[in-house]
Amino acid sequence: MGAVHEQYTEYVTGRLPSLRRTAFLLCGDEHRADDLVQTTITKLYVHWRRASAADSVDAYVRAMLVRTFLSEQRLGWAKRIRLTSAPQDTPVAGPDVETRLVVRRALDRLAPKVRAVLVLRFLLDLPVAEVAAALRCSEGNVKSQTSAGLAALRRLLGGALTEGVRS
Amino acid sequence: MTDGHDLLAALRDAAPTTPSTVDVGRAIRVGQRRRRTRQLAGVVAVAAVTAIIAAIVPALLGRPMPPARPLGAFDLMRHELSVGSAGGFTPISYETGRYRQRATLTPVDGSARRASVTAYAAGRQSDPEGTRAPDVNGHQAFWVSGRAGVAWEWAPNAWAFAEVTGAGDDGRTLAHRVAQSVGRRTAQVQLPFEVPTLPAPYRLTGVVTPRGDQAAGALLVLDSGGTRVLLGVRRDLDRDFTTGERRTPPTATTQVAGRAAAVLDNSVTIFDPGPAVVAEADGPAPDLVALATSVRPG
Repeated sequence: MGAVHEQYTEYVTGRLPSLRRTAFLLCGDEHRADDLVQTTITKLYVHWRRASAADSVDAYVRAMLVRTFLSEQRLGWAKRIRLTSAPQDTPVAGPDVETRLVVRRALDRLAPKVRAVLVLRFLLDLPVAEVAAALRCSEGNVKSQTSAGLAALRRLLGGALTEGVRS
Repeated sequence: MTDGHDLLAALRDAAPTTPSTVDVGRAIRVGQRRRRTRQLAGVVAVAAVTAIIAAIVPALLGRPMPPARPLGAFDLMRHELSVGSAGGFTPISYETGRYRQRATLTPVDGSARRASVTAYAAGRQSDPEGTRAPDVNGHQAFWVSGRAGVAWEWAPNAWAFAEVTGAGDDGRTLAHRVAQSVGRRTAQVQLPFEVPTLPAPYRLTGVVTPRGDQAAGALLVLDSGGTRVLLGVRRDLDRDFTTGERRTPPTATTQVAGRAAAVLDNSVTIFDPGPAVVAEADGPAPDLVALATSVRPG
């Protein structure tokens, strides 16, 4: 039990930044991202023996995170909000803030599964087969969701992205 | 680089900027409790599990099991709340749903601020924990962290949330004012059209109606495998029906059932005299043309 406990703690602590980034890319909200990661690593603890025996622990955990995201999307937004007395966030400015916001907003308007496909494929650079495994669907389904998602994204962005990227 | 990489390039470096609130120790503690519960459940028959959980799990957790609460649900064709103008906002649309109803408000000064009120049916939203806010119309209330929002118990065991965006430091105060404008009043939803049969795989999940202007139309909210589809009749095609935000209206490029229409990837608009018939999806959805032609304006 002690060794298992240590293995788990070491793995999770090391992967926390990557898990938080993946969750943030999926949901676009830092607080919700942390909630998603918290839920995922709790499930991971329960299933640690199976997860640690997987061919790729990272792929196993990433799939858990994506499914947690999709599952929470189905439950309604307010179930995920946190009610504490923590201070408000301070916005961080940067040169591409506007473009980033425009693209983020467009991405958030896509259906959750389509959004997950685009994030996994084009922001985390995962191959189609790995995306299909994470989403428990066929590779053909991933390709069709990708095509539909990119078309929707292009339409939502319209000229905004082109202008933002060029500026 | 592919098209997808190009489109999403602006987000490639995106990452959380706030310190992590993820608690590995808590994950272990909760995970251990779940493991014990799972192990317990694995060795007894299903009927016995129910009794054992009621007797033993509270002891394992060290606190009494809260009594089961009745779960409520709304009628899709009834509004349960009235939302007034407050805090510089006025309601623009109301959406019903089985487990939650939502009003969207728009600023009266034309600014970019937005507000919404979401009310859940009894037991469909867990009790909030956090900083107490001043009561809302005599009901206990809490501030929502990280958002300019307030949660209050609008009915026994039923929570509602008022949220404001784009209002800076005044957000919470304005959200509280919006919350205070919310009252309980049931009203039947009026639809200015009929849909004789909803084809599979579409499922009705709610109705969006404009506030105070029935001539503006009404839209059914449908679900098709996770894709949200709005179906019905509407005027003012240059505005988002739910939020009132400006958008580019479609233009007629073809004909559907002998009527001028715009058929795009995820939307169909039939330009009838008066309000147009629309079927608008937020993703790929099957048979939108057939869906749109099934609408019979009243």
